[in-house]
Amino acid sequence: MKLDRIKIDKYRLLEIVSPVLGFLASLVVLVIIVVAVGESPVKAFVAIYKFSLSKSAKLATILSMSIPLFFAGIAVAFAFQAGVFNIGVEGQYFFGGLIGALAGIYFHFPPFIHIPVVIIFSMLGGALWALIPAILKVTKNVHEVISTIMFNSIALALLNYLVNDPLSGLGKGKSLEPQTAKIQSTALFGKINGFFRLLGWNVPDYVYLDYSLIVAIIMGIIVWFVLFRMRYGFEIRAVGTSLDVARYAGMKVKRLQIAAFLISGALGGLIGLQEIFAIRGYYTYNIASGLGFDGIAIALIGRNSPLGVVFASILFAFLKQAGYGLQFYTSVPNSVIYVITGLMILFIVVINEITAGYIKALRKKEAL
Amino acid sequence: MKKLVIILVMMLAVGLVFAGGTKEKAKAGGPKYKIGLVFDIGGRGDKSFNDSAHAGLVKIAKQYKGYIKDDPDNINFGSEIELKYLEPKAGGQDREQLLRVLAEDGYDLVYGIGFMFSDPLAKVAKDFPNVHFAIVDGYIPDLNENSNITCLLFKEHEGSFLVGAIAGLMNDHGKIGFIGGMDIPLIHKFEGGFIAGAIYVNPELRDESMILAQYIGKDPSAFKDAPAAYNIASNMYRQGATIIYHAAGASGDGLFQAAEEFKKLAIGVDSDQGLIYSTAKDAATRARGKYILTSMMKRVDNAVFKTAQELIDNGKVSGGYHSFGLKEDGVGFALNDYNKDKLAPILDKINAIKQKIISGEIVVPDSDTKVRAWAEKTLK
Repeated sequence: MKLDRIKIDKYRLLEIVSPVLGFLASLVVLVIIVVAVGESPVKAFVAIYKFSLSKSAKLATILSMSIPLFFAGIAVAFAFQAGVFNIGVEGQYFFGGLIGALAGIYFHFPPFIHIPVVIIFSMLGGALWALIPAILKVTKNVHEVISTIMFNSIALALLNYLVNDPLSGLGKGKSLEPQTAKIQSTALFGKINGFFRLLGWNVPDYVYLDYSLIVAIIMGIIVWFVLFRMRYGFEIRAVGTSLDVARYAGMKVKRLQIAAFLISGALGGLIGLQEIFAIRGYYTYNIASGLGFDGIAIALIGRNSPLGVVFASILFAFLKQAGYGLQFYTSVPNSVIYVITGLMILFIVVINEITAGYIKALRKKEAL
Repeated sequence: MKKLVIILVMMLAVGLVFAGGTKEKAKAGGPKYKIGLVFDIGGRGDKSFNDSAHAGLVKIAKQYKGYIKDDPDNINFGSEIELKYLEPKAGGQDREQLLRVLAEDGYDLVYGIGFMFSDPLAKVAKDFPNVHFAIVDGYIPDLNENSNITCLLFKEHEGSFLVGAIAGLMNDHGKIGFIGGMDIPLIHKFEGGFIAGAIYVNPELRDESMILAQYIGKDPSAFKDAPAAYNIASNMYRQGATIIYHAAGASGDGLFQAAEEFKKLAIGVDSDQGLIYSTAKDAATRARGKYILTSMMKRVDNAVFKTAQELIDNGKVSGGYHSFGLKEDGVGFALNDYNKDKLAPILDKINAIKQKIISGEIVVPDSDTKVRAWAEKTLK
């Protein structure tokens, strides 16, 4: 009995180590390319260090950048847990952000009500945008990869239209960037940098450590609790592991899949919180694009667990900063930097998956 | 294993291609001024707006013995001025961060290229009162002489007036057309100037039915929808248009395609599109170049250069709003080896009109809605 436990823990360790292995391999890739381009690898590492770990401001920036990435990762991960491949997080993020922003623009509440309201509306918007693909999947068996990709395009076209025409808040001769009216000050997210300074972490004021960080922590805990401590979450994971077994066990498979899809969409709706409510204070379709797709890689690296997604999103933010460091301090051309960060992500994901498969095989062997 | 080898070989090949361009350049003894610039996402290499800003940096380097740090083209004329550009990725705070690192690193003048920099630039400028910031095409409210922000704005209507006059003079008893990209006030500036210029020189065009104008759409994709521009242009040529001007970014290619098919003329925008097409590598594109009569040039390079010039010559850039019109060489029409013969007969007239605008004798309306009132006042 005791021996078994130790063995299982050994595999756990391997599981945790594998992304680190992937990261180390990706560093080798980095060195090879940097040398090939004719730049010194030492200079490259110094550049990356200067933009990531050198100052508390840079560390805080990485944490701040990881917030939207975390929401993206956990949204995709939740759907993955139920065996649903939600490629539509991008569209759900854009649409959820708009609904949240509208609640911020047109409702009048005191801040302690208004802020939860915009968060809830963002989630509702995201869930709404996931609803049709979810229904199509379970009733008509339309594959969610196809339908959600199409819904991404529909969301973008719809938002282009809405922000330019009916919802435009652009004053004549003012900024040329199409945007909605300003969000009420009661719905804007304040910063919690002062709190971190109280704790002794010297974070400058300009870094965006705002309420969305708190929302991220709370959502992370809720998702973990639902998935791993509630019967409901167990059922979702059962559906994700084997549809037939779950059905045989008497679970309402269709309902569970729709629910997982909608929750995934709701989480996706939160991606825009930071940019819309803390950084800009209005909505525009020029908000950062591609985050929904980053979420897929983040969920893969994080193995669909909330804690894994935390680390994966910080890793992604770190890679982005590393790219800027290379751009600023080295002569590596920008296009090559894109190649480097892309390859690093690829290596981490692939090595992670290979070891995961290897561990699974080992476990099976053990069980026999 | 085999695949791994292939990948490695490919990486090395890529590396070799780039290796040629990167050599040591900076010398000891720091530069007199450091000037930084942030493009927008994917900006560098667009053969238009952003590359024009890059051309401005090159001009600064040439004139004041400077160098562009880490540029693959190895632009180095001395070590008096250090120039550096960065490019953000998609992200809510990335533009802001890049502006900030340049300011933190002791750059004296920092540019943001494009209106997307309006908010980030205003925020960063507040934190660095001793660094001067400049934004191309962006509007930040409540600035004055002493602000550390300069908005570089263009009088696109003045340049459009000139190409409108060219169209009016070259027009052979037909109609003229305008194709706008996205239906926003900025593009109506182009339309207003163009129509005013055409009717100023050609009384035949003063009848409203002689001018055709249409916008492609209401969202940014209108700037990259060449098929839509092709359809609109074809319709206009069928209705009797002889010359069509576009302010529709990359959609303009559709217009040039239609011009080639109908053997009619087109006018380009922003950069010297006639020259770009006529010197293109593939024959099909080159063939279209012949139908581009001229282009309305928006000289982002001049705006970038002049702002730096102010800093280097006076030690300080004045804040507020700097307009770049014909007078400041901020807009103009393209004259190149391929169209100079065609334009030669009317060149004197066009230059005379240009002088009238510069002297203030002609005040160009900055929207098509103002053209009628302008015409009643100016033309009898």
